[in-house]
Amino acid sequence: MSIKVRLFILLLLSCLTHTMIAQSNYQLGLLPSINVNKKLSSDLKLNFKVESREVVLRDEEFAFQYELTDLSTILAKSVGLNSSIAGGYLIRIRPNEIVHRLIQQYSITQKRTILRVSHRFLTDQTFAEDNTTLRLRYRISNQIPLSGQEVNASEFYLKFNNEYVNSFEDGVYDLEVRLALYLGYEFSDHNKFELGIDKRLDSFITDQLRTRSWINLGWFISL
Amino acid sequence: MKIGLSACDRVGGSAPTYRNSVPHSLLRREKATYHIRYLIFLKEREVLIKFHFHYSIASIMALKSLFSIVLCLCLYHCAHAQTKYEKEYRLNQSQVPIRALEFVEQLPFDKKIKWFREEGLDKSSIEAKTKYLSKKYSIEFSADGEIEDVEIQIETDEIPSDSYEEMLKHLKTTYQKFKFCKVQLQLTGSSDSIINAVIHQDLKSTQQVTVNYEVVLKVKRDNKHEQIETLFNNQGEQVNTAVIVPKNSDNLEY
Repeated sequence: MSIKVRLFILLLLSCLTHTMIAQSNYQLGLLPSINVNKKLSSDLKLNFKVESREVVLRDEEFAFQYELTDLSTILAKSVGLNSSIAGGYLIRIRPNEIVHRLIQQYSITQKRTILRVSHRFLTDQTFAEDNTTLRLRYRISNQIPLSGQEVNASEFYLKFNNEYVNSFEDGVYDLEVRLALYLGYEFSDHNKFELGIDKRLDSFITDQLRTRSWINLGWFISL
Repeated sequence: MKIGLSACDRVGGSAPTYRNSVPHSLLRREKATYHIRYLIFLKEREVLIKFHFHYSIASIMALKSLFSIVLCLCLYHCAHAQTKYEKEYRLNQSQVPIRALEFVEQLPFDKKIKWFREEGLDKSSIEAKTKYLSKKYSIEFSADGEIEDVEIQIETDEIPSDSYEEMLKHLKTTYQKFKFCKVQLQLTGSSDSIINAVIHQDLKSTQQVTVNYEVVLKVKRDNKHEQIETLFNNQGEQVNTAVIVPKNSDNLEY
């Protein structure tokens, strides 16, 4: 195990420790996901994602609780060499509620010397039983190889995400800031696994700051 | 769908209590009525608990099954996926062949030199990367340290105008659209001629060195966007072209 991988694990543990001793209004959970992509033609691609949430800690107390499962499918059309527009639908299944969401996104990926940077602009409309939420999101993702200048098969990499989620629910505006750090492993160009921590801060504009941390396990497969 | 929400409230509710102020004559009948109601309440609670439990278990089981199916499909895909073996990684100076080190020592580089090894199925090579006079240099060697070429990153306006015009002529006739991403001056020849060319920064007076231009372009052809790498000779004529296969970026987009 290289020194960079060890450093990442140390950083991940310190983030987790910080989360667990942080202020009372927080929760920690698991966020496993499987992301399957299928190329339909030279410029069309279908994305299918299954993601579930389980809360492990809530306000300093152990409280393992299954929260929800998201199933989503997104059809993307490339509009340039590295850019695409996409639209899709998500169904969120909670034990006592089903929520529907429409998604529209534009993303562009650029290769810098060793960095791969992706910008994602996304809007979504969430339809719950008693309310509708509109969101406007921007995310920047950076991928850094831990060996060489490009991520190749059987190599580790780091991924850093920063997302700003503007939401409007019943005329009330809120901003959520998401910071995520992942350690990824590329089995092949079409098969990657990521483990990381995704920290989400919200309600700091209108109410008391709420902090949620998710231990994220992501698997990306292209068929 | 709000199954179980009201059930939760009722499940968590308290059992009815007997009133102390009931008149004595009605006490027995009232007690019986309340007793029956209480039994109904218990039965109802039991049914609701069972229903809620079964509903939750059923939905979780369904989702688990879905996860399992997707997981099996993924594992099947992984088992049958064919991977192209190509790897590039950093090297310590001690791992670099002596011939390559000796060649680089003769060059006037003053910045740190990073060494890499590139391994393919049929070929492996050593590469040194550094910066000199604000330009990026890449020196490629064979696996045993023999010099293959030196590449220097330049701007398009540094290409001699005749060669550049010839390149543009070729690109305009071949592609609907094109954009230069990276231009590298490629020097090949004997090690002495390459060293002289780099030290003196004068290619015109160095006859022994062969000059080519390795250009990375974004192009549009047949309404399809591609990234290509084209090698032009010193006169701007195309020598060869290869399509660059884009790396998968699904993990950055979704």
